[in-house]
Amino acid sequence: MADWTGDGHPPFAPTSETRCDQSLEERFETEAMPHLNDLFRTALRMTGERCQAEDVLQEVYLQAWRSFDRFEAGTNCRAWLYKILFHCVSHQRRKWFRFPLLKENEEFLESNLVQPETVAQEITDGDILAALDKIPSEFRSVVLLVDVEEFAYKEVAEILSIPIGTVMSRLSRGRGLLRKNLAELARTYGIGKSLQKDRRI
Amino acid sequence: MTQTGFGEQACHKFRARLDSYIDDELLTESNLEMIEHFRRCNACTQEARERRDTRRRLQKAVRDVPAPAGLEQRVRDRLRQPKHPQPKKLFLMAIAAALALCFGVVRFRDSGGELLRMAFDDHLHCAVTHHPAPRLPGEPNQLPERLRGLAVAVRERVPSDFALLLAHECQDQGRSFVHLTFGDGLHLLSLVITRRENDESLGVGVRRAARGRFQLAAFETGDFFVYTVSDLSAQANANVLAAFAPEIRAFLDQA
Repeated sequence: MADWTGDGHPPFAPTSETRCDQSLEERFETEAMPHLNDLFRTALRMTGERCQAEDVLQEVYLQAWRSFDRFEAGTNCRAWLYKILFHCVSHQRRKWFRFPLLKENEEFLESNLVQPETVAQEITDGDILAALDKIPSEFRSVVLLVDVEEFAYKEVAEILSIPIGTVMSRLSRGRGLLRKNLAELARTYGIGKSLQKDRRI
Repeated sequence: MTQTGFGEQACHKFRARLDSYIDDELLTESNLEMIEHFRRCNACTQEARERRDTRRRLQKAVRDVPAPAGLEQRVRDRLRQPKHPQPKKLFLMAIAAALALCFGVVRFRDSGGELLRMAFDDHLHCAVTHHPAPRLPGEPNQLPERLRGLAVAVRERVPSDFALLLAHECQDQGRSFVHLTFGDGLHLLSLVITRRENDESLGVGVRRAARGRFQLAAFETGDFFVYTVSDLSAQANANVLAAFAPEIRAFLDQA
């Protein structure tokens, strides 16, 4: 803002380093700020707590603003913000939990291979979110980026800094686990028993 | 040209590619093979429909969660904040914390309330109001010899950007505490330990409480109460306690 007089980050101060006709402030406003709600929703699903998600989101925008002068105009700002988001989420996890990252144990995966079932209408959005939250975070992140945020595999590979083959395997496994969780839930509602029997191949 | 087979093996092969097909990530030729297979296989067609349905339902469920009111404004406010709290602000925060303490912003209704209150008090006294500075330059671990190992054990579990500011023994209202204060320039985190007296108990599990902007988490061992108090989020503060717990229990068992 023009009236910024503080001594910290001048978030929207006019700058001589602007490209094209827009100031850095205007570019940040038009390119970065519109993704705030989407990023929050992803942060919420990755952290599981609204306060933490908001903390992460604030950190994402702070980091984005600090390095926005190096962001190339016209490239994918949304993917860039998601890359920062997952960096922050991963940093938070290392910081507070120090849990080892999930190893893709074949035995574990084998035991989780499932016959898919459709999502019964009786299953609510809350049930779906709870089923999603139960998936290990490495798989959940890929499912969120592809299924909800509709990023291409290549973009997801870039955001998470993993090979595209890993994106595909994590996606397949993540979706499989989600379907398994939903199928279990459906059974508790008494749905899907006959369906599953009929559909074995 | 690849032949489009049919039967169990073919279905297995096509289902392995189903996710990529749904995501429109296959090459044109592979896409055509999939479409050809769907024309002849009801099971895989149904499977594709169900996977799309799951995806659609998931998308809706996640997107329908509302973002908190005022989130955008809070992010903008944060962007306008200075990099680090200024000394004057820290001083004002300390006064606010002390006032909150004096006027009892939070009332504890349960019998364990006093046991939580004393840890808040110790944090405010040692870590906030009298911002810790080691008496011996360069040596923040001021614990007596028998306890020095505690700071070493706990340090391993502290978030990497938090430094030990001071580890010491202190007293408040006739009670002795071991107090370790960590900071990262923005936040202060206290680990407070005191010996249980008579029949005092916090009960089973982790107790949490809040006072103003401070969060507390606590548990008890056979002989001690262990607390973390900080200006982190409630979850982060409790996570730190959980991270500390194994080392602290092991250390206290030998103490």
